[in-house]
Amino acid sequence: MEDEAPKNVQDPPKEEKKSQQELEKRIFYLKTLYDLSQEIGFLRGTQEITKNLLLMMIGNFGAFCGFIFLFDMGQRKKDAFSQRGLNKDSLDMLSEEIESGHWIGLNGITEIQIIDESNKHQAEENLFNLLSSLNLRIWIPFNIDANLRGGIGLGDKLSGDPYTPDDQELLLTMANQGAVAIESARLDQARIEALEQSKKELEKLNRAKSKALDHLSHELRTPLSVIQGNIRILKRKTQSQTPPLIREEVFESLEKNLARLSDIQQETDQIIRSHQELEMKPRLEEFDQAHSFAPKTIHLHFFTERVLEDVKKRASHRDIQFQIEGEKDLHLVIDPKILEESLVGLVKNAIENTPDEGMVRIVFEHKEQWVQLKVMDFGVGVTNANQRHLFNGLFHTLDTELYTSKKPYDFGAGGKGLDLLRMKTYAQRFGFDITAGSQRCTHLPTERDLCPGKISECPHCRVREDCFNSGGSTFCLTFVVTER
Amino acid sequence: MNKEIQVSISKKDDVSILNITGDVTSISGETIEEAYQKVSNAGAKKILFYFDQDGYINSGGIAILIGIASESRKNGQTIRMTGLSGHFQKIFNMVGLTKYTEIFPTEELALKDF
Repeated sequence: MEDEAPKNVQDPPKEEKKSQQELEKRIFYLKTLYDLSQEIGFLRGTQEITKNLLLMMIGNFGAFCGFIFLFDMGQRKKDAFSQRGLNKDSLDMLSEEIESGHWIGLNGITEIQIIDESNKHQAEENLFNLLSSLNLRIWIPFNIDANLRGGIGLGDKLSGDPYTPDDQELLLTMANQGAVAIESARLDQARIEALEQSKKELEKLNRAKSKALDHLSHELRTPLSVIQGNIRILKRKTQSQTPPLIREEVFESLEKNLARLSDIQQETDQIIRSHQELEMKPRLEEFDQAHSFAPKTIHLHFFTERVLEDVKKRASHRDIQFQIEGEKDLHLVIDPKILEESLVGLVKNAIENTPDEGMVRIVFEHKEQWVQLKVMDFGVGVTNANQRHLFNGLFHTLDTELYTSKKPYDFGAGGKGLDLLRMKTYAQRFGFDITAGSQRCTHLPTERDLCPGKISECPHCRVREDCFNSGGSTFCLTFVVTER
Repeated sequence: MNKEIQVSISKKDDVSILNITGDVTSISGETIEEAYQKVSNAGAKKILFYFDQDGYINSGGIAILIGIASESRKNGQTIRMTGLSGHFQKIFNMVGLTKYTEIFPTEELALKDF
């Protein structure tokens, strides 16, 4: 004690400098731990993680050389290997040891181990000699789980300092950090593989579904034709009798329903064809080469006016007000048939959801490189629960109405959602986007609440605006603007 | 956020200078290794590493520099470093890198020392 006291008094700056250096070293070590988590935390490959871990260890301690490896015990093969600073002979010897599986004996050294003569008795001699011959100074076991085992060897420090117990603790912490990163990366990989497998299964099921639908659709054609023919014969025979055996209205109803079934069959057929083409040629460029659709520059406003006039004629039995708004000088390059079918489909859908005395509005918007065509109705809207199924096809918000005898463009005629599915298919094929937003009429919160189909007959609306403000839907087609 | 590394090569007399800007990590350090290999293959015997004072160098980056320093010794090359902040001069000294190479406060002094 007497010797130490004067020393501290005599040489305080030296002690202070030493403390300062120790503090800086510890800060540097902490920073290394942080950097390690940053560097390996986002890596997904075992080889990349092990390589970075080794570099961080070598750089942190200023080691001459080092290596890291992982061995898959189940498959009896090397899983990852990385080295720095080993000469060719050492590398050859090490590779041979690892490849031959001899390294497994290294498991005999289960704890971090300084390789020097004083420790020789603690490890198996031949393993000790191997590590020693590689000029390694410290051995760190590196085990991910029971199956993936390995280790890290580091050479002497450039500084000549020994590996202290603090150093060993830090090395173990770094190795643990690496093991966690590898485990996490492997779990992620397993999840991705499981998802990919599920996707493949779903695609397989989807193909099976398409095939079944295709088969059904095809098989329906013949019986439908036969029934149509039989009805005609029956009608002729029964009506020639006096009084007619079967009333005319019954035949009308039969024919109307049969025509509707026939429409469904044809539309289904068309959609299945589109899907099959998409599945076979998912890339638009390939599709372009294989099909002769004819894109043209279209003046959007004039085109819409013309299409709307046609639709108005078809919906002449309805009392709906139409408005076209927005920029008048917008152009699109697209096959006119595709745009017409899409536009007619959306306006038809809007009309069928809008009560008489209501309004359908078509709006054009130009946003940077996008042109949007919005079809807005102020009708009954769609509940949140049903909105997600809008583009699925063969989905009707009112199940019981699926086979009603309503005509196209009637209020609530609805349909089978096939028009929307077709548009979605077109959008995928021709590179535009289709989205929908809807607010269910506040007076008709559920699908069981029915709209009378005419604003003046609605008990909740005093004026038309009351209906306009109560709900509605907007379907939006978004196109990329092409230079003309 | 890492600053992207950029390494440019220039020459003053018989000294090849690697101008390094950005952060040096185990991943970005490979760019320095490539530049070093390039000047080595061209027969350079005197190489100056000119770091960006604002750049960050992590342990992985230091490991890359240790590797280069070790190889340079085998190749009979002389390596000098400059542009390092006081903090990294201390770190390089701490990990023993200064046993392989010398650090200079300015480019002029480093060039004069070759």
